[in-house]
Amino acid sequence: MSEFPLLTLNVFLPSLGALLILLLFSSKEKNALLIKTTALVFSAGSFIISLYFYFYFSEGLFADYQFENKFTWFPQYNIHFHLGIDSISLPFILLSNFLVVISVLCSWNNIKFRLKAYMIAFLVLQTLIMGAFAAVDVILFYIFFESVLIPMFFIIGIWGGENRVYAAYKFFLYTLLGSVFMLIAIIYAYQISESANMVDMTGILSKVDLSVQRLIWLGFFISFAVKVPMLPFHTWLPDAHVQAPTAGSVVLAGVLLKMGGYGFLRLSLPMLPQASHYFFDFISVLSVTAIIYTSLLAFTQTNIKKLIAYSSIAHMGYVTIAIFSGNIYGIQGAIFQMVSHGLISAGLFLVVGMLSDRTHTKEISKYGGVASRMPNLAIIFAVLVLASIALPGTSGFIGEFMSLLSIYEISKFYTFFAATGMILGAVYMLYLYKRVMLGKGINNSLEDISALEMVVLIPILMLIIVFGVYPSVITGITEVAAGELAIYFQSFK
Amino acid sequence: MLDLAVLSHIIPEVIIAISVLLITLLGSFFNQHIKPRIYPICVVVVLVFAMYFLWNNDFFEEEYALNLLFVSSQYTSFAKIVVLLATIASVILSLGYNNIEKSLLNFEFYIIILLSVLGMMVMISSNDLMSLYLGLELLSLSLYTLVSYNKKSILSAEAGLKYFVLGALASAILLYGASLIYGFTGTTNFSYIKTIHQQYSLGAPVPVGVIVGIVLVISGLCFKIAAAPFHMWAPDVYQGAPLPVTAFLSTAPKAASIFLLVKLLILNFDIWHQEWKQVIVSVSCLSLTIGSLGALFQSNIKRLLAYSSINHIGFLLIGLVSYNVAGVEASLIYLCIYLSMNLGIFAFVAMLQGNKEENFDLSIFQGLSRTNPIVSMCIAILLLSMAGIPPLAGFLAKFYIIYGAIKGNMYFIASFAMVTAVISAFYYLKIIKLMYFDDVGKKAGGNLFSVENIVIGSFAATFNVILIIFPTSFNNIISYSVRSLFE
Repeated sequence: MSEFPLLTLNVFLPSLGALLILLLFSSKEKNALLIKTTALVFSAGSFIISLYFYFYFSEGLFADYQFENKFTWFPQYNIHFHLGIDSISLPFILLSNFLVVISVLCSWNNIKFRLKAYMIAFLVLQTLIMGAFAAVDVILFYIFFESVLIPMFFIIGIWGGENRVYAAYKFFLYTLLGSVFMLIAIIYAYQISESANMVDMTGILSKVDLSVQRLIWLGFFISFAVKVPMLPFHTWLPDAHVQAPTAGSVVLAGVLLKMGGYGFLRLSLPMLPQASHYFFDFISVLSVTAIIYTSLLAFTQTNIKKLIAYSSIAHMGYVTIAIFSGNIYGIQGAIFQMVSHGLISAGLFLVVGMLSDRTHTKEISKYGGVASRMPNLAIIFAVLVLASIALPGTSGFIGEFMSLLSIYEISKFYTFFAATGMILGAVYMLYLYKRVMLGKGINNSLEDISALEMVVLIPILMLIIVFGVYPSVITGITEVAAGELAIYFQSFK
Repeated sequence: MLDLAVLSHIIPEVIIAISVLLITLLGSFFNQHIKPRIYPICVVVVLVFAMYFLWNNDFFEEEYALNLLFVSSQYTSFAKIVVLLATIASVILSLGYNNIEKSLLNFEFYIIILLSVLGMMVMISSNDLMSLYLGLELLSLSLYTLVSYNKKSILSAEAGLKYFVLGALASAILLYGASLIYGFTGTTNFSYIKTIHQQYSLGAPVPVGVIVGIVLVISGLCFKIAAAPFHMWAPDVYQGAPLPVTAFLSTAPKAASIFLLVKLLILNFDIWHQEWKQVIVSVSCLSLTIGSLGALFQSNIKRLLAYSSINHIGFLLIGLVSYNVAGVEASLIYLCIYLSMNLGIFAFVAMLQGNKEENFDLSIFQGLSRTNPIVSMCIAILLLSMAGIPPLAGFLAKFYIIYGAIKGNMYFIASFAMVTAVISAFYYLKIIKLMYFDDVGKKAGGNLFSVENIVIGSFAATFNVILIIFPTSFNNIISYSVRSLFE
């Protein structure tokens, strides 16, 4: 391995920046700009490296890991520090890098205290998220996946709203409890395969008994279902979202939820195909219930962030059902839907953050007629709302359409209910838009969004439109790998 | 006739015994003329000297001495080095404490510490139930004195008395167990117990007396490591004892007792592993439960740490129940990581307590991240490590334990242990919440600055962070000594 370990550098570049900030700058007021710039440089640097991966991704080898870095770590246990990118993880790495850069930018002016710690937390978070998406070794994946809790706990707990402590605790303990079962399942699986490499494990585990597979599958399920979140495990999400600062919500909705879906796609589906078939109905019922139930809940919410949080759960319901339908539309649709939802929900949370920065409230009843005061924001918000209700031409449509297509191949019954969710989504999102943006104005002294806020929102908007009009940007990468995975998965039926 | 070659294997013990006498003389005759700081420095020098001898290759071969009362092997040398390191760290911690209470820690304090170290070393190297008891009692008697060392404090006296009464009971239980084993096997020596057992193990069941004896010996040792249901003394003693004593009590003697327990169960009593496994399983489950639930509503940091250590002990014992190389290795790795976390935390707690009065209310942590960001960061790292969050060392420790347990097909206890770990995460988070999410309170502690404590605490925190990068270098030493137990 004489090559330059670019992927490892990409993963650890942000935390290098965090270390620099920690050691070089004191937390005095005059250092604020320096700290912010350093944070931006390092997180953007990491994003640029990941763009390199996108452009130099070799097309012939879609299903294999590329840009691999492998270092000895636990030689006697056959566990290695092994990073690599394949066409399933590439979209997620790009998405998470992009969203962390956006988060740093969007907190440029509105973090009033402990800026240093804030930037350190986000840079560390970026490293950990990327590590989780790039890990080829299961134990390494678990370590990254789980350590995300630490920075996120601080982000919610320090810079959150009034009820932040409760939300931070709930987030931490819920996720930890879920992950603990995954750890046991991973070790159990590792015991059988005697290798922690995902490829080796897939080969060995897919051949073991269904009863064993079911146990491991359930261990994984609890952890990922908390993270996604799926229906009975979702109660931490609304609290966390409402209390988290804007950038925290962006990363939470945009990236952390995707780690659950990515986990299903990367671990549950290929490693435990028989169990995944076995549990299809279980997942479908949970997902469909989530789609309808949380849509109804979203309709009754009085807090904007809570409403968007519930809509996230509904949108992630399409992802889970699409993953376990296990055909090529499902796998591609799930990846696409996750990327698309990452962008849309990030955009929505940014808009809500900008509104509440001005009005200091997130209650819907306090708003009204904002459109006449903030026309630019109103347009952007409208595009995001339409994308969220999956209007054709936006990325939301492609994701949900492909997901529904994949379920339709298996069960028209589930499709019927899942599709109902799209109608409900339109109902609550448009109703939200009406109540906030239209009608009589209450606030008279609202300034429209600044240039910096434009800079934050426009790229997201552009990507949503581009992905909606020309989806091959993503599907082109994932096509071959998704096809192979689908054929492989169906062969176990 | 005294054989000098035999003596060569007990050199570290001899060094410590002699230096106890020398320091006593020094203190008795020249106490007025020398600075009080000299004594701890002497003790550290002696301990480092003893460690230098233990590091020597000669001590890595299995040798018996003193009519088979004493054994020296790679395992015992490693155990002694760990114990000595923990003691050195606690002695250095007591330096910082000396700044606060000048009169409290006089030269006798350090002599008693040395005596307890001698007790621990004899205990670890014991190859006979009698030398085991000898070492254990020397350790226990020293600890009773240390716990009640703060003469002005009622709590300290109460803690000392409580510890003494319960400790004496535990010793009695252990002695009774030893006498039963002697009665049913005819010997107290571990080397003979095995051979005698093999003679009549051809089809015959294990005599009940031996089983009862083993259970009683284990119970006596479980008292020392504060494993439930023998944990009752821990919260009160932790709370009442002066802080350096608590730091010492929760590390070195515990480590020594665990090393002894591991040696006893895996090496000496391995033929009865079916029998002792059941005892250790129940002790472990109880400790996990009590350790995680008991600390939830504690408002005193020392009591909280007492319960947290009960939980850690529960984890540690799982490795023993696994009864495979991976499990026992995991136990010892867990022990070393536990020592580092505990010493680190106590180093910082010592700094945060009030200037005059001892104040160990959790409110000393309130708003610490505003007043002292570096210290609060180190504490947060140590606490998260205790909670077992990756990528910190505490996670590695738990990972190894669960790995060993699953290798030994103990799925239930593995899941149960991890669930208690989640519960105990709640109270570690409580302290982090006080430090980071709350504003500076009125009752905030003295926030004393002390170089010794900062060095030890930040060293521990750094160790906990970087262990994940080089996990194997640390494992190799332990795995060699564990393999020697299983041969």
